[in-house]
Amino acid sequence: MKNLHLSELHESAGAAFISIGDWKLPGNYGDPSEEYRVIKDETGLIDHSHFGRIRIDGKDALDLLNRLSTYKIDILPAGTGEGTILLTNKGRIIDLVHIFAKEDGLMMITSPEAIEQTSEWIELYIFLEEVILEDITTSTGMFTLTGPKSNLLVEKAFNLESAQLALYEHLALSVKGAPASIIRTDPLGELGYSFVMESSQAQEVWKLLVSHGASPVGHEAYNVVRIESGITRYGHELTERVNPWEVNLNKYIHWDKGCYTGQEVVLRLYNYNKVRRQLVSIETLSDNIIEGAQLKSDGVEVGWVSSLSINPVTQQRIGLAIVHIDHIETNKALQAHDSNDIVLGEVITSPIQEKLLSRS
Amino acid sequence: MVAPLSINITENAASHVRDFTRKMEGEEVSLRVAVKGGGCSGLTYDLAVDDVARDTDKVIEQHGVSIMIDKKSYIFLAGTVLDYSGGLNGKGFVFSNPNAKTTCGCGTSFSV
Repeated sequence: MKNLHLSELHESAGAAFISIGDWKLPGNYGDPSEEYRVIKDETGLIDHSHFGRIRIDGKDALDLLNRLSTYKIDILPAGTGEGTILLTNKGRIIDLVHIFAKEDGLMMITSPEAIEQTSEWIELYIFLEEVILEDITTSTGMFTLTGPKSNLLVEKAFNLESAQLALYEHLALSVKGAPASIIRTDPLGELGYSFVMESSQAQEVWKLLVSHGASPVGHEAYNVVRIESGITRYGHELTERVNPWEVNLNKYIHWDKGCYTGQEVVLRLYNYNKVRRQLVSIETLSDNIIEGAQLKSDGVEVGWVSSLSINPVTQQRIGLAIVHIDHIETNKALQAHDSNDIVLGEVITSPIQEKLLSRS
Repeated sequence: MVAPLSINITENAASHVRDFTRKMEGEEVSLRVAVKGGGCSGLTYDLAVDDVARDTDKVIEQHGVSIMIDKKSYIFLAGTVLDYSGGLNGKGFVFSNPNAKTTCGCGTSFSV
Protein backbone atom coordinates (compact mmCIF):
# COMPACT_ATOMS: atom_id res chain seq x y z
CA MET A 1 0.00 0.00 0.00
CA LYS A 2 1.42 3.40 -1.01
CA ASN A 3 1.27 6.37 1.34
CA LEU A 4 0.95 10.00 0.30
CA HIS A 5 3.91 12.26 1.15
CA LEU A 6 1.61 14.17 3.49
CA SER A 7 0.04 11.13 5.17
CA GLU A 8 1.17 12.22 8.64
CA LEU A 9 -0.15 15.72 8.09
CA HIS A 10 -3.52 14.33 6.97
CA GLU A 11 -3.58 12.01 9.99
CA SER A 12 -2.91 14.87 12.38
CA ALA A 13 -5.79 16.77 10.71
CA GLY A 14 -8.11 13.89 11.67
CA ALA A 15 -8.16 11.91 8.41
CA ALA A 16 -9.82 8.51 8.31
CA PHE A 17 -7.98 6.61 5.56
CA ILE A 18 -9.46 4.44 2.82
CA SER A 19 -7.80 2.27 0.17
CA ILE A 20 -8.16 3.29 -3.46
CA GLY A 21 -6.18 1.08 -5.82
CA ASP A 22 -2.67 0.76 -4.31
CA TRP A 23 -3.06 3.96 -2.31
CA LYS A 24 -4.02 4.80 1.25
CA LEU A 25 -5.89 8.08 0.93
CA PRO A 26 -7.85 10.36 3.29
CA GLY A 27 -11.50 9.23 2.98
CA ASN A 28 -12.70 12.07 5.19
CA TYR A 29 -11.50 14.40 7.93
CA GLY A 30 -14.33 13.59 10.35
CA ASP A 31 -17.32 15.32 8.75
CA PRO A 32 -18.10 14.21 5.17
CA SER A 33 -21.31 16.33 5.11
CA GLU A 34 -19.35 19.49 5.82
CA GLU A 35 -16.69 18.46 3.26
CA TYR A 36 -19.44 17.96 0.67
CA ARG A 37 -20.86 21.43 1.49
CA VAL A 38 -17.37 23.00 1.24
CA ILE A 39 -16.86 21.62 -2.28
CA LYS A 40 -20.28 22.92 -3.32
CA ASP A 41 -20.19 26.36 -1.63
CA GLU A 42 -16.68 27.22 -0.46
CA THR A 43 -13.19 25.97 -1.35
CA GLY A 44 -12.15 22.36 -0.79
CA LEU A 45 -8.56 21.12 -0.91
CA ILE A 46 -7.84 17.49 -1.78
CA ASP A 47 -4.56 15.60 -2.02
CA HIS A 48 -4.45 14.17 -5.56
CA SER A 49 -0.80 13.09 -5.44
CA HIS A 50 -1.83 9.58 -6.47
CA PHE A 51 -2.66 10.82 -10.01
CA GLY A 52 0.13 9.93 -12.47
CA ARG A 53 2.58 12.63 -13.52
CA ILE A 54 4.84 11.85 -16.46
CA ARG A 55 7.47 14.26 -17.73
CA ILE A 56 7.78 13.97 -21.51
CA ASP A 57 10.81 15.35 -23.34
CA GLY A 58 12.06 15.22 -26.92
CA LYS A 59 11.36 17.18 -30.08
CA ASP A 60 8.81 14.65 -31.38
CA ALA A 61 6.75 14.36 -28.17
CA LEU A 62 3.77 16.53 -29.18
CA ASP A 63 3.65 15.09 -32.69
CA LEU A 64 3.53 11.53 -31.28
CA LEU A 65 0.90 12.32 -28.64
CA ASN A 66 -1.18 14.09 -31.30
CA ARG A 67 -1.08 10.96 -33.49
CA LEU A 68 -2.08 8.70 -30.60
CA SER A 69 -4.93 10.70 -29.03
CA THR A 70 -8.28 12.32 -29.79
CA TYR A 71 -7.72 16.05 -29.31
CA LYS A 72 -5.58 18.35 -31.48
CA ILE A 73 -2.39 18.90 -29.52
CA ASP A 74 0.27 19.17 -32.24
CA ILE A 75 0.74 22.84 -31.37
CA LEU A 76 0.56 23.54 -27.64
CA PRO A 77 2.20 26.82 -26.61
CA ALA A 78 4.03 26.89 -23.27
CA GLY A 79 1.57 27.76 -20.50
CA THR A 80 -1.36 25.90 -22.09
CA GLY A 81 -2.69 22.36 -21.96
CA GLU A 82 -5.42 20.06 -23.25
CA GLY A 83 -7.36 16.99 -22.25
CA THR A 84 -7.13 14.16 -24.78
CA ILE A 85 -8.06 10.46 -24.85
CA LEU A 86 -5.81 7.52 -25.69
CA LEU A 87 -7.84 4.88 -27.52
CA THR A 88 -7.31 1.37 -28.79
CA ASN A 89 -7.63 0.93 -32.56
CA LYS A 90 -11.18 -0.23 -31.82
CA GLY A 91 -12.03 3.15 -30.27
CA ARG A 92 -12.03 1.87 -26.68
CA ILE A 93 -10.65 3.97 -23.84
CA ILE A 94 -7.09 3.43 -22.57
CA ASP A 95 -7.08 6.62 -20.45
CA LEU A 96 -8.16 10.26 -20.44
CA VAL A 97 -4.94 12.25 -19.97
CA HIS A 98 -4.09 15.93 -19.72
CA ILE A 99 -0.99 17.32 -21.43
CA PHE A 100 0.59 20.57 -20.29
CA ALA A 101 3.30 22.42 -22.22
CA LYS A 102 6.01 24.11 -20.22
CA GLU A 103 9.06 26.05 -21.47
CA ASP A 104 11.27 23.01 -20.78
CA GLY A 105 9.03 20.12 -21.88
CA LEU A 106 5.66 18.51 -21.36
CA MET A 107 3.89 17.08 -18.34
CA MET A 108 1.16 14.50 -18.71
CA ILE A 109 -1.33 13.79 -15.92
CA THR A 110 -2.77 10.28 -16.08
CA SER A 111 -5.47 8.57 -14.05
CA PRO A 112 -4.22 7.20 -10.71
CA GLU A 113 -4.30 3.51 -11.55
CA ALA A 114 -3.22 3.99 -15.17
CA ILE A 115 0.33 5.35 -14.83
CA GLU A 116 2.20 2.24 -16.00
CA GLN A 117 -0.34 1.15 -18.58
CA THR A 118 -0.51 4.59 -20.16
CA SER A 119 3.29 5.03 -20.23
CA GLU A 120 3.75 1.57 -21.75
CA TRP A 121 1.06 2.30 -24.34
CA ILE A 122 2.89 5.45 -25.49
CA GLU A 123 6.32 3.79 -25.39
CA LEU A 124 5.04 0.98 -27.61
CA TYR A 125 4.57 3.55 -30.37
CA ILE A 126 7.98 5.23 -30.13
CA PHE A 127 10.00 4.07 -33.14
CA LEU A 128 12.48 6.59 -34.57
CA GLU A 129 11.01 9.51 -32.65
CA GLU A 130 12.90 11.43 -30.02
CA VAL A 131 10.55 11.05 -27.06
CA ILE A 132 11.55 10.30 -23.46
CA LEU A 133 9.05 9.54 -20.70
CA GLU A 134 9.94 9.89 -17.04
CA ASP A 135 7.54 8.98 -14.24
CA ILE A 136 7.74 11.83 -11.71
CA THR A 137 4.71 10.76 -9.67
CA THR A 138 6.62 9.90 -6.50
CA SER A 139 9.04 12.82 -6.68
CA THR A 140 6.25 15.39 -6.95
CA GLY A 141 2.95 16.16 -5.24
CA MET A 142 -0.40 17.28 -6.64
CA PHE A 143 -3.34 18.97 -4.91
CA THR A 144 -6.69 20.13 -6.22
CA LEU A 145 -8.53 23.19 -5.02
CA THR A 146 -12.17 23.17 -6.03
CA GLY A 147 -15.25 25.27 -5.35
CA PRO A 148 -16.90 28.49 -6.50
CA LYS A 149 -14.62 30.72 -4.41
CA SER A 150 -11.34 29.01 -5.22
CA ASN A 151 -10.15 31.85 -7.49
CA LEU A 152 -10.37 34.36 -4.61
CA LEU A 153 -8.36 32.07 -2.38
CA VAL A 154 -5.69 31.57 -5.07
CA GLU A 155 -5.36 35.33 -5.59
CA LYS A 156 -4.93 35.89 -1.85
CA ALA A 157 -2.56 32.98 -1.21
CA PHE A 158 -0.20 33.71 -4.09
CA ASN A 159 -0.59 37.47 -4.30
CA LEU A 160 -1.94 37.26 -7.84
CA GLU A 161 -3.84 40.14 -9.40
CA SER A 162 -6.17 37.68 -11.07
CA ALA A 163 -6.58 33.90 -11.03
CA GLN A 164 -8.82 34.07 -14.13
CA LEU A 165 -6.85 31.49 -16.07
CA ALA A 166 -8.37 29.84 -19.15
CA LEU A 167 -9.12 26.14 -18.81
CA TYR A 168 -5.79 24.21 -18.66
CA GLU A 169 -3.76 27.43 -18.61
CA HIS A 170 -0.96 27.23 -16.05
CA LEU A 171 1.47 29.53 -14.28
CA ALA A 172 4.75 29.06 -12.45
CA LEU A 173 4.51 30.14 -8.82
CA SER A 174 7.06 30.53 -6.09
CA VAL A 175 6.31 29.21 -2.62
CA LYS A 176 9.02 30.24 -0.16
CA GLY A 177 11.45 30.46 -3.07
CA ALA A 178 10.65 27.01 -4.49
CA PRO A 179 8.75 26.51 -7.77
CA ALA A 180 5.20 25.17 -8.00
CA SER A 181 2.71 25.18 -10.88
CA ILE A 182 -0.92 26.21 -10.74
CA ILE A 183 -3.19 24.84 -13.47
CA ARG A 184 -6.86 25.69 -14.07
CA THR A 185 -8.39 22.21 -14.33
CA ASP A 186 -12.08 22.45 -13.26
CA PRO A 187 -11.97 18.73 -12.33
CA LEU A 188 -15.58 18.62 -11.17
CA GLY A 189 -16.92 20.70 -14.04
CA GLU A 190 -16.93 23.83 -11.83
CA LEU A 191 -14.10 26.24 -11.01
CA GLY A 192 -11.00 24.42 -9.77
CA TYR A 193 -7.21 24.46 -9.85
CA SER A 194 -4.49 21.86 -9.52
CA PHE A 195 -1.08 22.46 -8.00
CA VAL A 196 2.03 20.44 -8.86
CA MET A 197 5.28 20.80 -6.94
CA GLU A 198 8.38 18.86 -5.85
CA SER A 199 7.36 16.49 -3.06
CA SER A 200 9.76 18.28 -0.69
CA GLN A 201 7.66 21.39 -1.24
CA ALA A 202 4.24 19.76 -0.86
CA GLN A 203 3.78 20.52 2.82
CA GLU A 204 4.52 24.25 2.29
CA VAL A 205 1.95 24.53 -0.51
CA TRP A 206 -0.71 22.59 1.44
CA LYS A 207 -0.20 24.72 4.57
CA LEU A 208 -0.24 27.95 2.57
CA LEU A 209 -3.59 27.05 0.98
CA VAL A 210 -5.09 25.96 4.33
CA SER A 211 -3.84 29.13 6.04
CA HIS A 212 -5.79 31.15 3.46
CA GLY A 213 -9.04 29.32 4.13
CA ALA A 214 -8.96 26.13 2.03
CA SER A 215 -10.68 23.25 3.86
CA PRO A 216 -9.20 19.76 3.46
CA VAL A 217 -11.75 17.40 1.93
CA GLY A 218 -11.52 13.64 1.70
CA HIS A 219 -11.96 11.38 -1.30
CA GLU A 220 -15.44 10.26 -0.16
CA ALA A 221 -17.08 13.71 -0.45
CA TYR A 222 -15.09 14.44 -3.63
CA ASN A 223 -16.32 11.19 -5.19
CA VAL A 224 -19.95 12.03 -4.38
CA VAL A 225 -19.67 15.41 -6.14
CA ARG A 226 -17.88 13.71 -9.04
CA ILE A 227 -20.74 11.26 -9.46
CA GLU A 228 -23.39 13.98 -9.17
CA SER A 229 -21.49 15.99 -11.81
CA GLY A 230 -21.33 13.01 -14.19
CA ILE A 231 -17.52 13.09 -14.29
CA THR A 232 -15.79 9.88 -15.38
CA ARG A 233 -13.24 8.00 -13.27
CA TYR A 234 -10.64 5.46 -14.35
CA GLY A 235 -11.67 1.84 -13.81
CA HIS A 236 -15.31 2.93 -13.42
CA GLU A 237 -16.37 4.83 -16.54
CA LEU A 238 -12.94 5.04 -18.20
CA THR A 239 -12.47 1.43 -19.30
CA GLU A 240 -11.85 -0.56 -22.46
CA ARG A 241 -15.50 -1.60 -22.27
CA VAL A 242 -16.66 1.74 -23.66
CA ASN A 243 -15.96 4.33 -26.34
CA PRO A 244 -15.75 8.08 -25.59
CA TRP A 245 -19.28 8.90 -26.84
CA GLU A 246 -20.83 6.49 -24.35
CA VAL A 247 -19.37 8.27 -21.31
CA ASN A 248 -19.89 11.90 -22.35
CA LEU A 249 -16.31 12.60 -23.40
CA ASN A 250 -17.43 14.34 -26.62
CA LYS A 251 -15.56 17.52 -25.71
CA TYR A 252 -12.21 15.69 -25.88
CA ILE A 253 -12.74 14.65 -29.52
CA HIS A 254 -11.44 16.97 -32.22
CA TRP A 255 -13.40 16.82 -35.46
CA ASP A 256 -10.86 17.71 -38.13
CA LYS A 257 -7.41 17.11 -36.69
CA GLY A 258 -6.68 14.18 -39.04
CA CYS A 259 -5.86 10.57 -38.19
CA TYR A 260 -5.32 9.29 -34.67
CA THR A 261 -5.53 5.79 -33.26
CA GLY A 262 -9.17 4.76 -33.04
CA GLN A 263 -10.43 7.67 -35.19
CA GLU A 264 -12.10 5.61 -37.90
CA VAL A 265 -14.23 3.68 -35.40
CA VAL A 266 -15.01 6.74 -33.27
CA LEU A 267 -16.20 8.87 -36.19
CA ARG A 268 -18.09 6.01 -37.80
CA LEU A 269 -19.99 5.41 -34.55
CA TYR A 270 -21.04 9.03 -34.54
CA ASN A 271 -21.71 9.52 -38.26
CA TYR A 272 -23.78 6.36 -38.61
CA ASN A 273 -25.62 7.02 -35.35
CA LYS A 274 -24.28 3.79 -33.83
CA VAL A 275 -23.67 5.00 -30.28
CA ARG A 276 -25.98 2.62 -28.45
CA ARG A 277 -25.16 3.32 -24.78
CA GLN A 278 -24.95 6.42 -22.64
CA LEU A 279 -23.85 7.42 -19.16
CA VAL A 280 -26.82 8.08 -16.85
CA SER A 281 -27.19 9.04 -13.21
CA ILE A 282 -28.86 6.58 -10.87
CA GLU A 283 -30.49 6.54 -7.45
CA THR A 284 -31.34 3.49 -5.44
CA LEU A 285 -32.92 2.57 -2.14
CA SER A 286 -31.22 -0.81 -1.97
CA ASP A 287 -27.90 -1.20 -0.15
CA ASN A 288 -27.31 -4.56 -1.91
CA ILE A 289 -26.41 -2.97 -5.20
CA ILE A 290 -22.72 -3.07 -6.10
CA GLU A 291 -20.53 -1.43 -8.71
CA GLY A 292 -20.44 -3.66 -11.79
CA ALA A 293 -24.00 -4.95 -11.23
CA GLN A 294 -25.83 -5.72 -14.47
CA LEU A 295 -28.95 -3.70 -15.19
CA LYS A 296 -31.93 -5.42 -16.76
CA SER A 297 -35.27 -4.34 -18.15
CA ASP A 298 -37.92 -7.08 -18.51
CA GLY A 299 -35.14 -9.66 -18.11
CA VAL A 300 -32.98 -8.21 -20.90
CA GLU A 301 -29.53 -6.86 -20.01
CA VAL A 302 -29.39 -3.14 -20.88
CA GLY A 303 -26.30 -1.86 -19.03
CA TRP A 304 -24.29 -1.87 -15.81
CA VAL A 305 -23.61 0.21 -12.70
CA SER A 306 -20.22 1.97 -13.02
CA SER A 307 -19.99 4.09 -9.83
CA LEU A 308 -21.84 4.13 -6.50
CA SER A 309 -21.72 6.26 -3.37
CA ILE A 310 -23.91 7.79 -0.66
CA ASN A 311 -24.55 11.53 -0.48
CA PRO A 312 -23.45 12.35 3.09
CA VAL A 313 -26.05 15.12 3.47
CA THR A 314 -29.18 13.42 2.12
CA GLN A 315 -28.00 9.82 2.73
CA GLN A 316 -29.33 9.10 -0.77
CA ARG A 317 -27.57 6.25 -2.61
CA ILE A 318 -26.40 7.71 -5.91
CA GLY A 319 -24.32 6.51 -8.80
CA LEU A 320 -23.59 6.37 -12.50
CA ALA A 321 -24.49 3.65 -14.97
CA ILE A 322 -23.92 2.95 -18.65
CA VAL A 323 -27.25 2.05 -20.23
CA HIS A 324 -28.61 1.24 -23.70
CA ILE A 325 -30.14 4.38 -25.22
CA ASP A 326 -33.55 2.71 -25.69
CA HIS A 327 -33.83 2.58 -21.90
CA ILE A 328 -32.84 6.14 -21.05
CA GLU A 329 -35.64 8.31 -19.73
CA THR A 330 -36.24 10.32 -16.60
CA ASN A 331 -37.02 8.11 -13.57
CA LYS A 332 -36.80 4.85 -15.50
CA ALA A 333 -36.65 1.84 -13.14
CA LEU A 334 -34.19 -0.98 -13.94
CA GLN A 335 -33.39 -4.19 -12.05
CA ALA A 336 -29.82 -4.70 -10.80
CA HIS A 337 -28.45 -8.27 -10.90
CA ASP A 338 -25.15 -9.76 -9.76
CA SER A 339 -22.98 -12.00 -11.95
CA ASN A 340 -25.02 -15.05 -10.81
CA ASP A 341 -28.17 -13.26 -11.97
CA ILE A 342 -29.44 -12.80 -8.41
CA VAL A 343 -31.66 -9.71 -8.13
CA LEU A 344 -29.97 -7.05 -5.98
CA GLY A 345 -32.65 -4.37 -6.13
CA GLU A 346 -34.03 -1.58 -8.25
CA VAL A 347 -32.28 1.54 -9.53
CA ILE A 348 -33.91 4.67 -10.91
CA THR A 349 -32.03 6.09 -13.89
CA SER A 350 -32.11 9.59 -15.38
CA PRO A 351 -30.25 11.28 -18.24
CA ILE A 352 -27.27 13.50 -17.40
CA GLN A 353 -27.64 17.20 -18.07
CA GLU A 354 -26.66 18.41 -21.52
CA LYS A 355 -24.15 21.01 -20.24
CA LEU A 356 -21.60 18.31 -19.46
CA LEU A 357 -21.23 17.55 -23.16
CA SER A 358 -19.87 20.94 -24.18
CA ARG A 359 -16.26 22.08 -24.02
CA SER A 360 -16.11 24.87 -21.46
CA MET B 1 14.21 -24.88 -44.96
CA VAL B 2 12.16 -21.73 -44.41
CA ALA B 3 13.85 -18.58 -45.67
CA PRO B 4 14.14 -15.85 -43.01
CA LEU B 5 11.49 -13.20 -43.39
CA SER B 6 12.87 -10.23 -45.24
CA ILE B 7 11.50 -7.05 -46.75
CA ASN B 8 11.28 -6.93 -50.51
CA ILE B 9 10.86 -4.09 -52.95
CA THR B 10 9.49 -4.83 -56.41
CA GLU B 11 11.35 -3.68 -59.48
CA ASN B 12 8.53 -1.28 -60.25
CA ALA B 13 8.65 0.30 -56.78
CA ALA B 14 12.46 0.52 -56.92
CA SER B 15 12.26 2.33 -60.24
CA HIS B 16 9.81 4.86 -58.76
CA VAL B 17 12.09 5.39 -55.76
CA ARG B 18 14.89 6.22 -58.21
CA ASP B 19 12.58 8.54 -60.18
CA PHE B 20 11.67 10.29 -56.98
CA THR B 21 15.26 10.93 -56.08
CA ARG B 22 16.19 11.58 -59.75
CA LYS B 23 18.98 9.00 -59.63
CA MET B 24 20.00 7.00 -62.67
CA GLU B 25 20.02 3.22 -63.02
CA GLY B 26 23.23 1.97 -61.40
CA GLU B 27 23.42 4.76 -58.84
CA GLU B 28 22.42 3.51 -55.39
CA VAL B 29 19.50 5.12 -53.60
CA SER B 30 18.90 4.74 -49.87
CA LEU B 31 15.35 4.44 -48.65
CA ARG B 32 14.32 4.36 -45.01
CA VAL B 33 11.21 2.28 -44.39
CA ALA B 34 9.71 2.68 -40.93
CA VAL B 35 6.59 2.27 -38.85
CA LYS B 36 5.06 5.16 -36.90
CA GLY B 37 2.45 5.20 -34.19
CA GLY B 38 -0.91 6.71 -35.20
CA GLY B 39 -3.33 6.36 -38.06
CA CYS B 40 -6.78 4.95 -37.37
CA SER B 41 -5.51 1.43 -36.70
CA GLY B 42 -2.56 2.39 -34.49
CA LEU B 43 0.40 2.04 -36.87
CA THR B 44 1.29 3.70 -40.18
CA TYR B 45 4.05 3.25 -42.73
CA ASP B 46 6.66 5.90 -43.27
CA LEU B 47 9.02 6.26 -46.26
CA ALA B 48 11.93 8.67 -46.36
CA VAL B 49 15.17 9.15 -48.26
CA ASP B 50 18.02 8.76 -45.80
CA ASP B 51 21.74 8.32 -46.43
CA VAL B 52 22.85 7.52 -42.90
CA ALA B 53 22.32 3.98 -41.65
CA ARG B 54 22.20 3.47 -37.89
CA ASP B 55 24.23 0.71 -36.24
CA THR B 56 21.10 -1.24 -35.41
CA ASP B 57 19.45 -0.84 -38.83
CA LYS B 58 18.71 -3.83 -40.99
CA VAL B 59 19.95 -2.96 -44.51
CA ILE B 60 18.63 -4.75 -47.59
CA GLU B 61 19.88 -4.13 -51.14
CA GLN B 62 17.47 -4.83 -53.97
CA HIS B 63 17.03 -3.55 -57.55
CA GLY B 64 19.58 -0.78 -56.98
CA VAL B 65 17.81 0.46 -53.85
CA SER B 66 19.27 0.15 -50.39
CA ILE B 67 16.46 -0.22 -47.82
CA MET B 68 17.19 0.72 -44.21
CA ILE B 69 14.83 -0.43 -41.48
CA ASP B 70 15.25 0.29 -37.79
CA LYS B 71 15.16 -2.70 -35.44
CA LYS B 72 11.75 -2.01 -33.90
CA SER B 73 10.02 -1.27 -37.22
CA TYR B 74 11.51 -4.47 -38.65
CA ILE B 75 9.54 -6.53 -36.13
CA PHE B 76 6.32 -5.13 -37.61
CA LEU B 77 7.49 -5.24 -41.23
CA ALA B 78 9.22 -8.62 -41.63
CA GLY B 79 7.85 -10.30 -44.75
CA THR B 80 6.50 -7.07 -46.27
CA VAL B 81 6.60 -6.40 -50.00
CA LEU B 82 6.79 -2.78 -51.11
CA ASP B 83 5.18 -2.29 -54.51
CA TYR B 84 4.02 0.66 -56.58
CA SER B 85 0.50 1.13 -57.89
CA GLY B 86 0.66 3.66 -60.72
CA GLY B 87 -1.76 5.40 -63.07
CA LEU B 88 -4.38 8.09 -62.39
CA ASN B 89 -6.20 5.86 -59.93
CA GLY B 90 -3.09 4.29 -58.44
CA LYS B 91 -2.31 4.41 -54.78
CA GLY B 92 1.42 5.11 -55.11
CA PHE B 93 3.67 3.00 -52.86
CA VAL B 94 1.74 0.06 -51.44
CA PHE B 95 2.76 -2.18 -48.54
CA SER B 96 1.71 -5.84 -48.46
CA ASN B 97 2.43 -6.68 -44.85
CA PRO B 98 1.67 -10.23 -43.65
CA ASN B 99 1.79 -9.00 -40.00
CA ALA B 100 -1.14 -6.60 -40.47
CA LYS B 101 -4.22 -8.11 -38.87
CA THR B 102 -6.49 -5.17 -39.61
CA THR B 103 -6.16 -2.10 -41.78
CA CYS B 104 -8.17 1.11 -41.78
CA GLY B 105 -10.60 1.99 -44.58
CA CYS B 106 -8.05 3.89 -46.66
CA GLY B 107 -5.39 1.20 -46.14
CA THR B 108 -2.62 3.45 -44.85
CA SER B 109 -2.87 2.35 -41.24
CA PHE B 110 -2.66 -1.11 -39.74
CA SER B 111 -2.58 -3.07 -36.50
CA VAL B 112 -0.78 -6.30 -35.65
